[in-house]
Amino acid sequence: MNFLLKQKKQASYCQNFNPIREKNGDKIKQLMRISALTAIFLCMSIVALMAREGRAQALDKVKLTISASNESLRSVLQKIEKLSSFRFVYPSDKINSKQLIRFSATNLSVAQILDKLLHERSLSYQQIGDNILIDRAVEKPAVKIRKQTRISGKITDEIGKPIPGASIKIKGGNKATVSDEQGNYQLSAAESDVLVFMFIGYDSFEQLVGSKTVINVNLKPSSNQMQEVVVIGYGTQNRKDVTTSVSSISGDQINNFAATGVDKALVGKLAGVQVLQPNGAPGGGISIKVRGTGTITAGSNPLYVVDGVALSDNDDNGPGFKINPLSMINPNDIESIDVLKDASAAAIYGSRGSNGVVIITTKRGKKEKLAISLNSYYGIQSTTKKIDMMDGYEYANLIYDAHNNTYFDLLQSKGLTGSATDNNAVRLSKLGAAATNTSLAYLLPPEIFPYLNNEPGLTSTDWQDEIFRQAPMQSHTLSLAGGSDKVQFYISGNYLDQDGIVINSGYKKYGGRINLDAQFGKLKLGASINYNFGIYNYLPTEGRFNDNNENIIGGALAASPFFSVTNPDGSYNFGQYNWQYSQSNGANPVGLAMLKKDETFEKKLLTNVFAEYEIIKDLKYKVSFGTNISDFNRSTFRPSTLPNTVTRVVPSIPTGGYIANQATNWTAENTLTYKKRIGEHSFQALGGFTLQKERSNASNIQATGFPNDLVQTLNGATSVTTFTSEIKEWSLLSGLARLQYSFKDRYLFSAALRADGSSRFGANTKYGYFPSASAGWIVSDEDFLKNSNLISSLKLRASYGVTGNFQIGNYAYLATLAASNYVFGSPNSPALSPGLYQNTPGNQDLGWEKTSAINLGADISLFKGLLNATVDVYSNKTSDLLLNVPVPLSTGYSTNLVNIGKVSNKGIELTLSSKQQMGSFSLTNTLNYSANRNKVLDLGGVNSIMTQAQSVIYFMTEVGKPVGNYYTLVNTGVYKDQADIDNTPAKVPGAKPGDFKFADINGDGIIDGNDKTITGNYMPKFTYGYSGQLQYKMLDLAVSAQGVYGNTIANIAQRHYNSTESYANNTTDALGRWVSPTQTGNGITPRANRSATGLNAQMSTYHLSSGSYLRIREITLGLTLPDKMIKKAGLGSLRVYATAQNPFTFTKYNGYNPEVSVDTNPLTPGIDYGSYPLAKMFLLGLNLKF
Amino acid sequence: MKKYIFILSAIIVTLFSCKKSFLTIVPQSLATNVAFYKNTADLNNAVTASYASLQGMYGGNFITLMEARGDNIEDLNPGGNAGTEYNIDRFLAKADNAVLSSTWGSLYNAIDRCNTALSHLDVVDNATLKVQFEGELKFLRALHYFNIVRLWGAAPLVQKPITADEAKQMGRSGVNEIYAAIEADLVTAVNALPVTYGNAGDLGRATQGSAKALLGKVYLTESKYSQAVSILKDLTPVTGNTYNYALLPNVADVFSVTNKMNPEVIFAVRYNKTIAGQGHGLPTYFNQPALDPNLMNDYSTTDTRRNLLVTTTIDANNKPVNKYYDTFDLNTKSLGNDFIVLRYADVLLMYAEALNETGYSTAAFDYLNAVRSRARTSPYLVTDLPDQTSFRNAVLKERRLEMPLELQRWFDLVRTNTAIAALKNSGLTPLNIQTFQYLYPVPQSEIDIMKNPSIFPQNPGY
Repeated sequence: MNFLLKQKKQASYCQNFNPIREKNGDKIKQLMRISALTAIFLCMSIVALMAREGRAQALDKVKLTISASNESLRSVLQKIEKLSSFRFVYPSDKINSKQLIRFSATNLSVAQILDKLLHERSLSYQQIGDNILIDRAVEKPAVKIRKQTRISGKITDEIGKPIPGASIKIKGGNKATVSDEQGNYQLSAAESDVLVFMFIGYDSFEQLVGSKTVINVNLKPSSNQMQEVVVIGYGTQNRKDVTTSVSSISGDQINNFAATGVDKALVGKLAGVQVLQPNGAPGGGISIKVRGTGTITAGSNPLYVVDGVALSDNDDNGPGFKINPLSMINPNDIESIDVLKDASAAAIYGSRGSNGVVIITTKRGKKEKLAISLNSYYGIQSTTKKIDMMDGYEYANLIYDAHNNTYFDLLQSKGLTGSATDNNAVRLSKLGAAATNTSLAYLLPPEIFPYLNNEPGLTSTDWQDEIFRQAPMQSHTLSLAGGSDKVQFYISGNYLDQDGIVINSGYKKYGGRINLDAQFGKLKLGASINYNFGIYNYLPTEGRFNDNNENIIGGALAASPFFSVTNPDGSYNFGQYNWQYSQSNGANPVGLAMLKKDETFEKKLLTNVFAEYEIIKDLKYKVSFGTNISDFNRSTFRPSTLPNTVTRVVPSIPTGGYIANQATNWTAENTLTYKKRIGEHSFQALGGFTLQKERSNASNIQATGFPNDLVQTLNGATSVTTFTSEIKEWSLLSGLARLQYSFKDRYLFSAALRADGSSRFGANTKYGYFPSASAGWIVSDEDFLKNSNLISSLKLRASYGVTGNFQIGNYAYLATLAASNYVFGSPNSPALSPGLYQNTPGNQDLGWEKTSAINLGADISLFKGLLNATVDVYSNKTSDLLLNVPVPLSTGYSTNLVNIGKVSNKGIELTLSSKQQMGSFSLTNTLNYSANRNKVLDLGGVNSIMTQAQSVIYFMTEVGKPVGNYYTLVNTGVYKDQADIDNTPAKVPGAKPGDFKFADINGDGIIDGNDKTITGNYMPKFTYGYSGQLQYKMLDLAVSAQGVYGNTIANIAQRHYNSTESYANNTTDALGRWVSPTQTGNGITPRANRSATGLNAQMSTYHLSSGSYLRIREITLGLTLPDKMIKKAGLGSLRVYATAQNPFTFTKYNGYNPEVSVDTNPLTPGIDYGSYPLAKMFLLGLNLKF
Repeated sequence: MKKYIFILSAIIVTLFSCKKSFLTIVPQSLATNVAFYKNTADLNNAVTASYASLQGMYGGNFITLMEARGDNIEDLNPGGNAGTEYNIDRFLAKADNAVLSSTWGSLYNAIDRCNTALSHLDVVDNATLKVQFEGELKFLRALHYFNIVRLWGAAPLVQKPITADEAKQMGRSGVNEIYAAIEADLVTAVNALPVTYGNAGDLGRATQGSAKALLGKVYLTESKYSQAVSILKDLTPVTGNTYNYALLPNVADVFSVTNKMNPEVIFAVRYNKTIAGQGHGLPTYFNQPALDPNLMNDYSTTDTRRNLLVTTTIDANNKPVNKYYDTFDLNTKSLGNDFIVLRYADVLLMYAEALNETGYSTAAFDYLNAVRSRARTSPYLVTDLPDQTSFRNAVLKERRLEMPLELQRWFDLVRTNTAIAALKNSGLTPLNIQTFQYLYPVPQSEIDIMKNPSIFPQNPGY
């Protein structure tokens, strides 16, 4: 710890004027005249200038020929600037001299020239990188001569690379030197001297000489935007030189906060990157959309690349359950995340780049003493929302009304009359049904009478309270980083334990990472190993509440409050399972959640080893081999204590299942890179070959006939009902090349080409070629803007590229056979006879789905860096869509998978940020906005594709409109009375007062299926995000928010819990239902009726809801304990923080979570069918460094 | 350093040495058509898959299209499945109704299975089997076309595997053309199929009797009464006991799950609830059906068939009509009733009807009364049905009483042009329908793809 001597507070270049101020008290006033803003501007310009590529040249090596007659000093310096890569920095008053000079030099070194020019004017200079600082010469201090020792050492950067041109000076003196090409320096200093090491873009570092003669220094990059390195795929680039559209997020922005996963850390942070968490289940799947949906049939997930290894798209974990592909990555290990958004950036990933590429880079060790840090948090989660359901008394009234209305409707149709007070026997006899029939909808369930009589103290179970809970979660990451000159390491371990907010669901994981780097001369070796072991307790929540999926959330909303959770003996009460009188027979959701076992163990190993050899200077050959191995097994058991789904009595015959999948994906890459700078021309070239292959072996066994619940693994079963085992493979062979060129460091060009061959495509179309090109212009480096007060930096970018999408399954081009068995023989017990038929027609021409995209962008920094903006506009056109084109059903098939059709996505993305520093107070604000317009241009000959989802709702994808529109009736309220029905021209067949009215879309006077129309889309008009950070001394406060505007959600779970049919409990909306012509309610909710008349039950705009929302994602208040206190305790630093995640959501959406989508099919997005709600979380955490 | 370069180069060479075969991956868990349809065993599998098509159709949408559409039962759930089934029951269904497209698709998929197998018949080296397979496939294909022509009328007549482009050139063949193809297939089947299979393991395959009974039904539907008489006669006692079909003394035994494939069954879709995937759920409309009270009232007090429509409780949610009563296999959670497509009582009633249509005669009374008597209902006397019309009406009524929920009623009403009256006078929700509604609209998706109204028009009225 001695090594990390106290850093000089707020060390920055500006403060390096201080020695002057200290020594020349008389100059202070002059300096004070330089306003604070000028100083900041100066800093920014220096930073901007110095950030450019290329290492500083030695002043004594560069030789110039120059002549001047009667010019100002400033003008001479400018001449030198033009002839060399050096830039002069000086307080303007210092050289304001009007004195004209005459000067000439022939082939003299810059050092010689400057000596000549400046010394006689009492000016001194100092080289720092390419920049030369000029200041008033300091008179020799009258200090006693001390014993000088020769100090030497090496200056390296965060990854151990030498830093040439770094300045080393003695604090308080004027003795200084600069490091050489290898980062080495030499200087003589006294024991009591403090050396200050500085390099632009890095925090300065101070070291007391003491008895040392060798001082090696490892500088840390300062958190400055301009210096940011962007990962662009098979390489990195300075942010300044990037010509494509890449959004980045740094590790700092992730590490200081609590995030359970990478995806959570990304939400709302990047323009054009929409992170959806459609299912709040712990460890559950995510959906990331980069610039809209460019596909219809193929997958829409971006490609994830972790430390150079492209992850598999294999995410099949058995029915209902999807594991987050990024779950294996610990957010605390992340150094940076870069999202390649435009086709030019993503084209280097060719056939997999169409949906964007998310590149995750993890932390690596540094040449420094062991740094140990601990990041921990503990929190409590709860539901963000509870839906307002009716209690038992209200529900009883709804049932009473609903069943009576059914009774009256039936009586009316038969010309009979009756009364609400008719008992069931009277009703049965009037309507001629058997006196024993208890299943009819016009009878009154006897359970309701005590409630109707308002008897107090009756069971009124709030099922939401029963299935939701406050759930704790905790995460701990311990990491060790460090290294010697030759070997560096980063090791971390992580433990995460997250209970779900729905009872009996949860996620636990144990993860570890080892990143190693070693250098032996020109050879660099490295390895990254990430192992993750996850345990998931899954609960099905989505879908119909009462089918075989037995979904908990839908079930809890529909469940009747009349039934208690448990019986007096403690067993679960399954009374509603056998409820009569045409009432719903949902299973007890608490019983389902608690009794069913569904446990998944997932092991994931992600490794990458590489070797890089510098063949000649700047020509590097790199070979790397990566693996992505996953292995999961999922065991399910349905015990005898849970009634069987058909007979609904206990004990049932237990059933169990075992699903397993082992997948091995390996990647081998060979790349050659070359860098060269010739004068003002800078080149960087990349060429390479890659191979990738995946093999997975999945099995699924479902068995039944367990004699009891004692043995819950399949050896306890007596018969197997389902058994599959499937091997799947794919391979990808690619060649890639990229050339980057810049002229004068401000005219930037890049071109890339990738060729991909994939096993997934037909024999005739195995190979695809993906070219791209981009250009950038750093306008602010031009003379006419160089000294602008308004624009401190401005870069314009343009790019074009072609990418592909290969997410279509492994064997889609083949004509395959399917099993279709039958039974023959013995009359009562015929035997199975295997059947086979061709179930796909095959298509040997099946090829890539291609996206060509244009992107125009600008990065601008205004008012001396106070305000930064990035604007991108793009137009993506996806053609050769992998489309399951409907073919005439008379072929025997419904669709053929072919490359046809076009979709376009056009949009704009804007990121604004500002950074303000006022003394010890700093404020950063970032705002992002993105709008995307999706349009189908061609569907391969048909005008539209109609799709049905979840058996109840239709979607229409039509040429000229976005993909996946809801296609429903348009509800226009309820009929007030008979006159209203009579006066409405378009008739709803069978409708009575209190039933829904609909718009007559086709104008034929009758409301039916032909009046369905496009009524909305799940794609938002725009999305936005905000994050702000405020720092004041020890305190930091961060707020982030995220929002979506202008989308529509189909909350079809409402068809049960908002139907007023009363078989399921309803929301309190039902209290505003139509009751009679004089009591018409809220005009929205239809009358109660157990057998809905008219078209009340069909999907209409009644079931659609606005999906706009604004969510405060996170509020974090952190406290960094003062150094003194920490040092006393022997620690490096300690920050404690409190965070509220998802504390507020502003939305009109009536379901749990507006970020919902049951189906992953792009044609049927935005359905809410009882999704697992998002949790809000309050937690306390600490970041501790030893 | 040279040695590093050497090692790295060795790695590259190793990696690329496998390049040639690297992108050719033969699926290990999927069979492709390349290796199939090669021998007798393959064709046997293909024929089996053709039978398998029947299970989904008869256990599914057919009940909606052929039974709920008629006057026996009605749908009370307008919200279920987006109202698709309800709309069919209430004659609200339009061309975009998903039941229609899915049924059209299933039927043509079943036909394609037959066509593909037929096109590979030559690989069968056993002459007897080859003939038998052809008979079975053509029987099944005829059955599918018979259903298509009754549901939609004119339709594409596909008799070999076709590509999408070929399909787009194919218009809707006329009803007569389709019937001619059906007859041709059934005539082939009659000649090709055995009366019974020697191997007990083949029970359930189409027989010569199946083909004749179906052909008789086809002729009757076409109003080719004399041809119907001559083919159906073969199955009746008139020609002796070649086929051994008989009425069971107790009608309930016909449907009993412990008495499947009894002598009254001529052709049935077979199920086995103990085998996963080979059972079925309780058909939607046969679970506590909303039955026409008039139907129930039409049974005489002694009629044993009425009880077949009464429900028996399996549990609170499963109360099937007795005709389809079975208990769930608790392991597969499915039921195992066979679905009878053709049975001897149907043949007797068809024969009686065909005889009467060829000329009122007392001979027809025997066949009508055989069915009535078995159900413990007094036989008709000649005085009860003194003329052709009264006999015709009596047969129609008897068919309703004998075979409700057996997918006969709607087609009977259409065939006899009595659907309008029947639905108007139903004891359920009375409906006013028009003649054009005797046929369903062709699925809109199909019209949209064909985009050729001259050869592929929509049915009139839709």
